[in-house]
Amino acid sequence: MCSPMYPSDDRSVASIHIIHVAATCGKNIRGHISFLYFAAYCGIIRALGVIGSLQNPEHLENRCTTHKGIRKTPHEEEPMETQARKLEIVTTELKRCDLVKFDGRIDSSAAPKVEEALKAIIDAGRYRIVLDMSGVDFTSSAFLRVLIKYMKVCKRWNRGDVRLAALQQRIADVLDLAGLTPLFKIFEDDTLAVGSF
Amino acid sequence: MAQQRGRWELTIDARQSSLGAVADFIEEMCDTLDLDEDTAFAVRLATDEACQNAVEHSCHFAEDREVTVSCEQVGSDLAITIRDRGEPFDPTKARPPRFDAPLDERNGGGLGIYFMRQMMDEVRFDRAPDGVNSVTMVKRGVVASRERHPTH
Repeated sequence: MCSPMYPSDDRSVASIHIIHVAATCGKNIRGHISFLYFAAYCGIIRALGVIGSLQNPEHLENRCTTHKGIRKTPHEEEPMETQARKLEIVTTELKRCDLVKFDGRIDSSAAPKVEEALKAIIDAGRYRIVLDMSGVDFTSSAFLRVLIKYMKVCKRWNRGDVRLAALQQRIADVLDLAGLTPLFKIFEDDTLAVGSF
Repeated sequence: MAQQRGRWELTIDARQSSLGAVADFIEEMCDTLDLDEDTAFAVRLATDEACQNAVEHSCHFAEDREVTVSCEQVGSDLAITIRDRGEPFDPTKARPPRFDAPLDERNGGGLGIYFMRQMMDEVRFDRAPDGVNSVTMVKRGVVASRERHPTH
């Protein structure tokens, strides 16, 4: 029998489901007494879960940001969403190089995530990297600093390079404004960029 | 005829992860004001850079400090002000980016203020006697006149 999966922060739904299963089993085996014992046990687990979530710094962080939220005038009855849109990063290890595909917005809060992805590749001893930027519609200087840092690391001792593919026009403009265009090899798509290694 | 006005404000903790909420806030404000895509991109970029500077260089990522972003529409102009109570910041001491330097001598430093000045029509840095740093950035003539804009 397959047991259902629950998100880690949804213990209340999980415990209700367990109580329901326990009720069914209880009737079939020893009546309601076993069900009551099991339900009490689930209640304890649930209480511990709530305490655990209060102590989780990530929960505190989210609550804090949401609580402060936005004081929007004069439309206070229509609060804006404050949850950051996530940047998706998919890394694929190819024969010639590693292909990193981004989808979303690389604002200053997302730049550390990009750095983490590039560091993981370099820590594995691979220094030929293609960044597929086709899904990126926004970058700030925080991303450019990460680019410069890892470009230097990869080019050291001629062991590799960081090459860019499929830049949207505004991203190309930002790169140009920062004077970085001559420093990077930029390709129309990821196939050409990967083939260049 | 009275000028059309609107005001929006967001306060965040001075931490890197909170900057995503600023980006969402600005995106939605640009949508509400129906800014064209180039203007919206410029406003988003300048605000991201100004808030990154406030969180990093002024507040040093101290989580008990706050950064407030205020946006105000006055007629067709849009003004964005970032305030914090961190250390004083002197923009004249910030190193400008080195565009002609080779890769080994570049680290991307100085690009934030450079982008802010390039993207906006006016950028002002102030330090009030009560210890509040503020950066005010103005983009002129970018909000089209529409009846459904908030007025007060």
